[in-house]
Amino acid sequence: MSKSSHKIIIVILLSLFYGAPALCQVSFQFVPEIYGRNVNGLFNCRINNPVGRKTATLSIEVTEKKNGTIVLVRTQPFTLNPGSNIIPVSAVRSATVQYPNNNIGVIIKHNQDFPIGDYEYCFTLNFNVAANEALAEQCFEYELIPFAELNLLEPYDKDSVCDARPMLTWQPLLPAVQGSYYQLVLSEVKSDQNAVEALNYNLPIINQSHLISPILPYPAIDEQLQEGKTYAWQVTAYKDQTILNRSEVWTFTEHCKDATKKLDTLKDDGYRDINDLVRGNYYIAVAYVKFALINPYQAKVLKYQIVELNNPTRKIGGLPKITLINGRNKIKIDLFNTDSFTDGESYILQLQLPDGTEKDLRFVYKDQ
Amino acid sequence: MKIFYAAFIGLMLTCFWSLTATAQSNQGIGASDSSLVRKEPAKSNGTKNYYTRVNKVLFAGRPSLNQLVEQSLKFQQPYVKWTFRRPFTVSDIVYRKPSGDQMYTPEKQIKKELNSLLASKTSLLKTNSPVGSALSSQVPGANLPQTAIPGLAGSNTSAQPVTSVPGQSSITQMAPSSVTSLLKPTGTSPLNATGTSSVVGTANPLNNNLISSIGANSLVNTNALTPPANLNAQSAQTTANSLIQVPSPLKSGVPAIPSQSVTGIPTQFFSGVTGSKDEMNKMAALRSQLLVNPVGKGMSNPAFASTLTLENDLLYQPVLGVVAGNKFEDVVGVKGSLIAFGIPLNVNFSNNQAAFNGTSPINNSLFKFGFSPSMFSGLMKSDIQQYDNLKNTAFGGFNFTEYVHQTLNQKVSTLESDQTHMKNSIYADDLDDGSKLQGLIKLSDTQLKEKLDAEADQKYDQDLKAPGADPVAAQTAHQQNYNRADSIEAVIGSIKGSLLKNGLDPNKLLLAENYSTGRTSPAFNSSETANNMNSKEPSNSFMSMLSNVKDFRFGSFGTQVPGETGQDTKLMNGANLTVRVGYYPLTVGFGTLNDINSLKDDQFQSSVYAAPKTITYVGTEINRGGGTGDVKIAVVSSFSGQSNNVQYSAPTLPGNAVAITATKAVKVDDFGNITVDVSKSGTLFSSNYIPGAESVLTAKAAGANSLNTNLFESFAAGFTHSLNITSLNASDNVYFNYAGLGYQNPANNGYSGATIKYGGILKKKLYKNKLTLDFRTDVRSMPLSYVTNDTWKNYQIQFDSKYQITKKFNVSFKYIDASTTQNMDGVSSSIYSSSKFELTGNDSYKIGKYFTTSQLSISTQSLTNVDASASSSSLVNVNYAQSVLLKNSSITATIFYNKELSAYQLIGDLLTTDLTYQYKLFKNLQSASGLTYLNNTGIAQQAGIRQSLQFMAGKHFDINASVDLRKNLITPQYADLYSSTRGELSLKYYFKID
Repeated sequence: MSKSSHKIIIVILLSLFYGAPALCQVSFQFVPEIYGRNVNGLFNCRINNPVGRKTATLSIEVTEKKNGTIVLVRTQPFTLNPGSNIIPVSAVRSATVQYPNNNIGVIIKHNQDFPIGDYEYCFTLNFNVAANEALAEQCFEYELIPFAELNLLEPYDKDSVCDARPMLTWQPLLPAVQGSYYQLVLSEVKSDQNAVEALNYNLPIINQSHLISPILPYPAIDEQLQEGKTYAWQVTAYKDQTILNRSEVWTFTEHCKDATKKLDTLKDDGYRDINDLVRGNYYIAVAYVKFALINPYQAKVLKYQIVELNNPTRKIGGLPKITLINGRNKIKIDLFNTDSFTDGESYILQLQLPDGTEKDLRFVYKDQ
Repeated sequence: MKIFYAAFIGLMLTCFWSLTATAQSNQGIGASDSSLVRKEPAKSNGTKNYYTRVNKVLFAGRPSLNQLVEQSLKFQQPYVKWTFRRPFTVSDIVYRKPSGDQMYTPEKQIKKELNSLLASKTSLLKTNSPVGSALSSQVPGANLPQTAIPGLAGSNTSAQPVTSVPGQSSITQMAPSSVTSLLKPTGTSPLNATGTSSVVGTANPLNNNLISSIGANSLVNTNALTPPANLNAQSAQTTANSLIQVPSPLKSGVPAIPSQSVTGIPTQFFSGVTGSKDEMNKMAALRSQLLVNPVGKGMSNPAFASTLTLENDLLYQPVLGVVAGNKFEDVVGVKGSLIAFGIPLNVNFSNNQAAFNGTSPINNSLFKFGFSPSMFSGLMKSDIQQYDNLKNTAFGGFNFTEYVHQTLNQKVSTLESDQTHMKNSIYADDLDDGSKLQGLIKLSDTQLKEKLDAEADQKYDQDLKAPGADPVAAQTAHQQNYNRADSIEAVIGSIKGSLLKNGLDPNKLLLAENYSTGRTSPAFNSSETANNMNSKEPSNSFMSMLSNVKDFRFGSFGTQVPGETGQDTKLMNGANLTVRVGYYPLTVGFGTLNDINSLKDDQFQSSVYAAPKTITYVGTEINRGGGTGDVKIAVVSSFSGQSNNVQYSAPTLPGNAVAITATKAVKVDDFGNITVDVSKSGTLFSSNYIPGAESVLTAKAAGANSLNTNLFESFAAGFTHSLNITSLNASDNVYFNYAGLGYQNPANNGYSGATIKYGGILKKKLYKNKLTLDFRTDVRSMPLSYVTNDTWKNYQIQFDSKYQITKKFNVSFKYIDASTTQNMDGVSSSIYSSSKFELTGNDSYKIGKYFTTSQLSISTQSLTNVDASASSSSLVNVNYAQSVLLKNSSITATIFYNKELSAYQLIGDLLTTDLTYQYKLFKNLQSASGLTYLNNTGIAQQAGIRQSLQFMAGKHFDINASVDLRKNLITPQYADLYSSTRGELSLKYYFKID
């Protein structure tokens, strides 16, 4: 062998010898975009230990460009197995945490969320003496802007909606996160439940994940909403399996029956006998004509018609069909919703009583 | 797996059906009158050219007495509901025209029939009987007493039901001819010659109403869950009953003054109703069945009662299956109320999908129990209410004394071998006189025996002393009297015994009876004892403890933690208890708050939004005298840290936070309601937190001030105002919340400091309610930085107006605007903004003879999201729905069209249409069939059919099933947004246990 080939072999062997630790280097997996937002998120770091069991303490330091060190966490020693490791609970429970003595430190001590800033998250593993390894360190950088509130837009909270398949809109997740989606859940609020319970206890009517846009036309395949019922809904922004942000829980009612206007309560009294009414010569019908009559026969349909005094040839149609029961009948003819009567005009109600006699009742119609 | 599902569904169905059967068979006494309606007439008796209807039961011709009694017994009513007193009136009779087209005026004919019928059965009415005279004065409302029970608002349950009990058993032994001697004629009878017809033949509508109302549901209140309000509903009936009181016949021959009557049952009258001896015997036998040991049901509150809905929702949606690999989602839920050992609880349970996602159902089901104080107070009854309950259930409508009297009369005779009539015995007076009978009831067994025996001895002595006395006869009579005394003691003793066994004191019952019938002295009525009889007192110490509980919830329930700012309620897994301690209500709660709770969160493993934490809180309400309103104070603390929830994989740091909040609500008369709350937070540090003494930390110059000393920065305040001015037709609801930089409410998610929120709702109606205006707004500001004024600002407004042009046609206009801006370094940049205009018209009109409604809405919307794209998107939506009502069905067509106007597309051009036909298949089965079509240009195109069925099997069972099948005409780009199959089956079972 020539001297040069020996040298090459030695160099290769030496470089392998020196390179080996590099191949066996511990590495960290951390997503600052998701987990770098608060102190607890820092513990979602995964440690890849290629070879051998090791014991080490983990030190996490978060610094911000303008404000310096924000937080410094030191855990107790824990064991790293070969492969991917999570930080064990016991190590975190007994960790020491230090905050700086400024405003930021004090607030983060209270609520543990990081404010806006340019952050560097450095994870350092200090191995114990026996492992015969230098410390392993890895830093991640991220420009953090805390999430804005995820607000729902339409249908508004506690609003009433006349659409069985409404379009649902909400504000997008700001700032946007690549690879994030929305999930919308809508459930019926049953009696004795409040909105939050409804979303959790009941089978949702809409449970749509993987939404990209902050707008969802009511899914065609889901059942439509029903009149009179109240629904609760909420939107969640998530990435993979982590919840990033949630909206409030809003409710709305499905209500659409305004076509026939309801009048202010009219009491159900005032049914005078038709014979009495007819004897009197002035009756004001306020939206209804009400009278009572006795039918000693079997049930039958009441034959009647209403004729306008000033225009007797005009046939007023659309009058409700009235069926008499045997015995005492309280009759209420709804003129208001028939839409054929004018306020202040006089009309004649021509009735055929069950025994065949005819009665005429003259009345003046009033809307309210 | 599929076999399992099918078996599961099959099992549930069989369970429900069997439960339905059981529940229905448990319906017993007190069946409503609707069950009395029969289609065919009963066995005919007499001429067939007319029918008679009594209480909705149709008889061909005239029913016999037997048939009438049989009817009442068949429906197991504790007493016969119809009366002989007024057997038939005009409205009761349905007159069928005989063949031939003659028009009959029915009144005369019917009156004739009635008179002849009555004449045969009630010949006594024509005599000068006290009952007859009483009847003639039966003009409703005239001089008739209403014995009201003080303390029971609106209810008049002491009123005597005007029902008959077929004659006294003693009558059965007599031949009909001797009946007339029972009722001694008084002097001049006010009964007029037409007395009979005036009672019977009148078509007085008031009478009809009264009678028909009596014929309706009985006064039996077997439903322990009925709140006291039901008593008011029954008051109309009972008031009616009281109007037809008949004076007591206890004192024979002399009509008692109505106000002192003990009972309204004109038993003497019914003794006058004669029939053949067989009929009378049968009546007596039937009556004895009715009266035998009715004590039992209804004597005490049921130990267990419930009104529950059991619901099973099964969803088949293969593409959208939340849990990977599972195409089915199944939620079993139970909700309702139940009463266990006198405690009313609201219950809600959901299996939370545990059966399908492999997690343990015990740990993962959601349930909550809530104690309902309002229901609880309804269950506690005062003494008087208990007595009334007894009267109506156990005593068959009679007052206690009369019940004893009836039972004595009936049972004593069966105990004796010698059938001497009670009326002729020496004890007649003792038993017939109410007050004397009460005296007997109050005596103990030995005392009673002594008294009765003494009377027998007295009679014996008299007999011996009388001139022409026959010692043998006297001896026999004496022995008979002894026997009778024994019988009377036995019967009274057994009645008292069964009462005592059920925890009822006969003396107390007598007192309650006298009090409720107005026979106690005024001095007593105003005494403390009388007051106690009316008040609702808990019956034992456990109940009295419960009456102090204002709120108790346990399990997983949605709640607003005291002192929490903002409107968000959270799902707390724990307990919340509010109890009155002394003068103040004390609220205590503890629980865990998790972000991942149920089926909807199944795809998530962790949450950055909210870490799990345990919270505890204590609060109280201090009533500052002077009526200015209460101050609520609450202290909330939270311990964050690793919970036992295995779904959270990452560990969390332990930390404690505390907040104390004071809330005061003020009602300022014309100015509405104002609520102010003030809160201060702090942090308790664990020993893990070391003050930054390490030189490793390099604190930069920014923010040198410490926050701990600055009061305002860890301080939050809120203000809400609501006012409704009906005269102006306007209302408002505004709020304002401020939180300082250092404030952190332990229960809030995320950072809750340095936020300002305000907003409100304003409503106004104009032009006689034709125009309604609605304005809502919400403005929020939350911090980005803790040292500078960088914030996120967000606002939303919605303006909604609706104008009713005609009764059938209205238009509405809506404007929505929202935006989020980022304020950084003094520069405000809009990140997101959207605005929408919408115009909607609603009309209903007729096509031919069918009613139809149309709704059209057009809206334009523009959205800009700087983060997502530089350009904004804008959409136009058209939504049209038309619905036609046919005779028994309806057709509905809907079209939704979305057009993207700009290059940046949010959802793409989308057209969704469907045509649905809703109709009734059978009596209880509703069906809807439809065709659907969807076209989202370039993304999906589907055509399909939809079918749904709704089955309502009586009042116990509901089944809803629906299937939606679509065919993909092109391969969808996002398969999970455009699913092609969906099936849902929902079973609901309502059951009630009493």
